[in-house]
Amino acid sequence: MTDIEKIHLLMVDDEEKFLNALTERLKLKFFDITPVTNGEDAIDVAKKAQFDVAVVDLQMPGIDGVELLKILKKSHRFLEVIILSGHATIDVAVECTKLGAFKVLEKPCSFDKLVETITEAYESRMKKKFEKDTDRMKQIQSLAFGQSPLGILRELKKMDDNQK
Amino acid sequence: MKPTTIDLVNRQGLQFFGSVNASISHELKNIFAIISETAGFLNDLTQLSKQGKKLELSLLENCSNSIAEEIERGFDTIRQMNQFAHSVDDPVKATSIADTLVLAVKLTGFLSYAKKTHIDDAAKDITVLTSPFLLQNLIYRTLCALYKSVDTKDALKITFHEKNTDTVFLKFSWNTPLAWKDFPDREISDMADALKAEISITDNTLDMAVARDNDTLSAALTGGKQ
Repeated sequence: MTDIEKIHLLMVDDEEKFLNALTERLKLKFFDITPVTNGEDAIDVAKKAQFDVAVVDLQMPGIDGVELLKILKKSHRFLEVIILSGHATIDVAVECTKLGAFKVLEKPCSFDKLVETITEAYESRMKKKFEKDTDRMKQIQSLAFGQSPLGILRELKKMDDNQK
Repeated sequence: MKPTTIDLVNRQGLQFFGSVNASISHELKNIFAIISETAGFLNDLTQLSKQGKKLELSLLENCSNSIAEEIERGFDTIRQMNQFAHSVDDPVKATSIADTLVLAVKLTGFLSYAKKTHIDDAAKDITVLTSPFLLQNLIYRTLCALYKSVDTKDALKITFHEKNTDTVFLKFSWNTPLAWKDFPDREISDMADALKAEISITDNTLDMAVARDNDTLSAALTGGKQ
């Protein structure tokens, strides 16, 4: 499978070892990962490359998760952002959701839950991108229930136009 | 109205205890998250190996090293948590400045906005008769205020020495000059008063002169007259 056929994920976390471990695991699946350890680098790489979904840690030195969420959502119309938080309170979840986060997950979260949420986020991105494309929307909506998250991701990726 | 010393321990102290515990739990969550993902990666590799893919031994070695390091980091965090919990055992006691500074730097190190901080390890340790909990609280809050104020890439240096028989002198310094706003705040000022500590600031230093023997604290903290 070439990188173009994979889901492009931007992972941002200042816990470098956590980032590396998660990157290695996701690489074994259907993902092309760009790991960065701070908000400033995340903004730089997002300018240069196309990402489908971003997974962002909430508490980081410098530009924190909330600030990064605002910047990414402002400059990347269809990018879905999942927030990982060590303190996933209702207040945090409400604030991030208002700012456009796809979902807030408490850290540590299970790997399967993360993959499932990335799949949902990618599906949401596809629906937003192709909301005026009736045929493609029908295809997206007809994706078989009961498929594994990675199976759905593969099907969705085939329908994508690889535009930002 | 000025709070009593008991108020400082009860109200601000409880808030301080809560905030330190929150940062420790955040640190432990990070540690567990790393161990969990590394163990998951080992499991993924095992499954791939069962399917006939070649297993790289260096990956296994990296994983086991990473888990061992995180376990050690977890033990270290719990040691600090334990040391901090025992700071309320005695209202007033002979308190090591070096130990208090090291613990404060480690505890504030869990905060996402913490800066690199170096304590002068050549300085000879000094003890002061004071409230270890309030002194820890004062230094912790001072470090938090400094971390939030100094330049992102700046680092802090802390030195201490005996100024005279009555006072211990702590100096916090950094490189990039800083325009202070609202420091010390009321909470830090109240705590400094209770500890008989004087704080003075310039654009790249913060000096804290702490009384070596605070004889009024003991009565104040055990319900006697302040």
